[in-house]
Amino acid sequence: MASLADPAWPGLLVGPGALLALMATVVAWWVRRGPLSRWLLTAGCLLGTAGSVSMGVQSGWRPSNRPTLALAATGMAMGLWGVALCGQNRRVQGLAGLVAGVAMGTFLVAPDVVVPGVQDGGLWFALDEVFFVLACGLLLLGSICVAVPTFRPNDAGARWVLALGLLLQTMALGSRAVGVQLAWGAYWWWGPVGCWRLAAWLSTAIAALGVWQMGWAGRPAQIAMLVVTVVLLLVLLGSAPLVRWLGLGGL
Amino acid sequence: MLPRMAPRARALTTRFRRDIISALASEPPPSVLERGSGRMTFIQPGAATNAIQRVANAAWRLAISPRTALATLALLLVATVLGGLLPQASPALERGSSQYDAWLGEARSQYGASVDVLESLGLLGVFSSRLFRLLLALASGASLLRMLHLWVPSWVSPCHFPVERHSLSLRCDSEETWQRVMRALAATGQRLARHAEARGVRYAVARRKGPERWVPGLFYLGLLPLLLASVVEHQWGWAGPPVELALGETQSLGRSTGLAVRLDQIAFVPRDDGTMQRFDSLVLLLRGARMEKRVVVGPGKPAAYRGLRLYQLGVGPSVQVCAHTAEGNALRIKDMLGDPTPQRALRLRFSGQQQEQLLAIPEADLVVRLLHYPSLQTQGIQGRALHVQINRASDGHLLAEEYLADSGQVGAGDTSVRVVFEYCVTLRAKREPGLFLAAAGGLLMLVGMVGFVVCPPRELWLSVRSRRRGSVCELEVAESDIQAQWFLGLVSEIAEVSDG
Repeated sequence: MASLADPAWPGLLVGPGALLALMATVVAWWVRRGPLSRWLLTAGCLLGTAGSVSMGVQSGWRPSNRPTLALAATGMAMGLWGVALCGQNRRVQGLAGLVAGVAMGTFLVAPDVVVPGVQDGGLWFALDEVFFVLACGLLLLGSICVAVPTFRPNDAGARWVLALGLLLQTMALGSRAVGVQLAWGAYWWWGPVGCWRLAAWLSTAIAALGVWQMGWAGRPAQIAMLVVTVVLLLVLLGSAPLVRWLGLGGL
Repeated sequence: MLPRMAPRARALTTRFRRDIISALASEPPPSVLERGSGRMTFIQPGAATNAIQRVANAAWRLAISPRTALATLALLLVATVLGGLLPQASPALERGSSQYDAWLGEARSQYGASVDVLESLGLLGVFSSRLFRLLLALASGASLLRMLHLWVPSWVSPCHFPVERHSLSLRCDSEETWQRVMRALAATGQRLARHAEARGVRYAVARRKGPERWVPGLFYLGLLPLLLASVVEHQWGWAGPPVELALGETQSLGRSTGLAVRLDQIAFVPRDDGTMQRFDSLVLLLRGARMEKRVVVGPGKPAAYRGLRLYQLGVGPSVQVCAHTAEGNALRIKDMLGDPTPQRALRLRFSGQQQEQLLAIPEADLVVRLLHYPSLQTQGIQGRALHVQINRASDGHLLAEEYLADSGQVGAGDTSVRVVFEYCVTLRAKREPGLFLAAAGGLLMLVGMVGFVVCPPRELWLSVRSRRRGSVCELEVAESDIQAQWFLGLVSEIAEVSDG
């Protein structure tokens, strides 16, 4: 039997998690049982989360150094947000389950895709990644909801998603600042990857300012949300490889 | 759900708004007002305010305008993206110092001549540049004004966001309507921030009351100590040079401290991929020959001593080397690149600039060359590797050569050279007088951000006027709030008959 230290162990959790999430999609869209699909989606995402956390604790695997894990974590976050915020909307839950299931499946197929050289460790950096992934999942869910007319998008929803996403990113940056301060004594000096995280925060802040205080509504609000989501996902998946490709990590 | 009563409006341009602007903008300075009453007397409708007041009003509106905030954020975004794309010198590296020149050399080796172009444009230190500091100063000024706009009741300015107007026709007189408005505001957690009368019409601006009014402003308040902390650090903070230590090695932490540090012991737990799950260093702080304190430092676990904080910046490879004859007699070794004092065992560090070490064993006429590799795929070594070459010193003839993936021995004739793989640590001492300010500022910003999400600021502009039968109450609110629960509740509290 695999032990907790065995890297195969998390697969025993993420695999069933992916299956449950996909089953939630089937139940939501075809069987049309809302409460059951909610239960399945929650169970699937929680199983996947448990697997990811155990990987992080035992092996140091993080979304920042494993892009497929980042995808899976974003999918799981989107699934959980779908249950929390759109509990009565079967269509959204079905979509969230599909994204979560496919994302977790992608990780299971290619778990060894690694960005070398990313070795930030410790509780505060882990919190930073958790909050950032939650923000990515939330904004991905919000973007899909505003982009697909079937989901009856509204401006109030876009406003709250941006505000909550900004709050989560603020918590992520705060955690990163604490982690950097404890590690190197420089809470304001985050390196190139930290710069990209700050750029994502600034993009979200600009969109939130536009929607909340400048009256961006309808199409402009939708575009703002979509742009912010793309920026966040690019930062999550691409900032570490970009920094490595540019050779900035060593300087 | 309320029907939309007026076409979508940008800023305040209707006669209603011009009147309320005139009424509230033409009041005398606060020092003339009755304290505590909040009630202002309208001076004269249409009276021309003086130029200074007009300029001050315009400057105030510009400072708190969302467009100004947007422009500031956009400029910060540009600077941040540049910081993420271009190599940036650490703020601890002073331009012109030897460490800065070494960093520049390393950047040149990686990026070529373009580094000189970037340096001349000041793009290698975006976050240390005067322009960036000016931007931060502007951001802090704008934050202060926005905070005052939120907190100080009389510092109200006509809103710039799109508004919607909702009119209520009521059978009761204007006094009764005014009382209803007061009750409705209290019921929805708001109170009057400013009010005035003009030509028989009562105008007012209402905002949240209680802690919910204050909490969002903490975001702007928190930004000020956060930025102030960087000024305090710049003026009174101190950071010593990075100090690399192998086991048993002693080095100074910096002249101003009068302290030296010695690495006494390390404890580590490696992972399968070569990273460290845990790495703690037991270091001694020495003043002269006297031990001041023994502290444990690890990644993310700094140690503190009398206002100094000691950080473990990183871990690197080092080796301990000793040599013996076939009979087991220890031979003395000399470091050819460092301290030439012969010793029975030497500890050598390998860093980014120094991956090769040369040792001499005079008693055996040997020269030992050590080349460190983070990994050596050609030899099938995934982790760190050491290439050991032993040459005869007199003629340079190669006597032995081996690749070590772990501690081991290399023999050359009667002499065996033993190599033990170890680690060295990089420490740095700092004085950080601004840390508490930064922490307080960050915490306030986070609380303020939560406040913006949980209880976002509300602003309601209203007027009450009499008509032949009854009165009219006009409410203007941000477009985004027209269908909000609090506004619907307010309208239902006031309304008797809604004009369609």
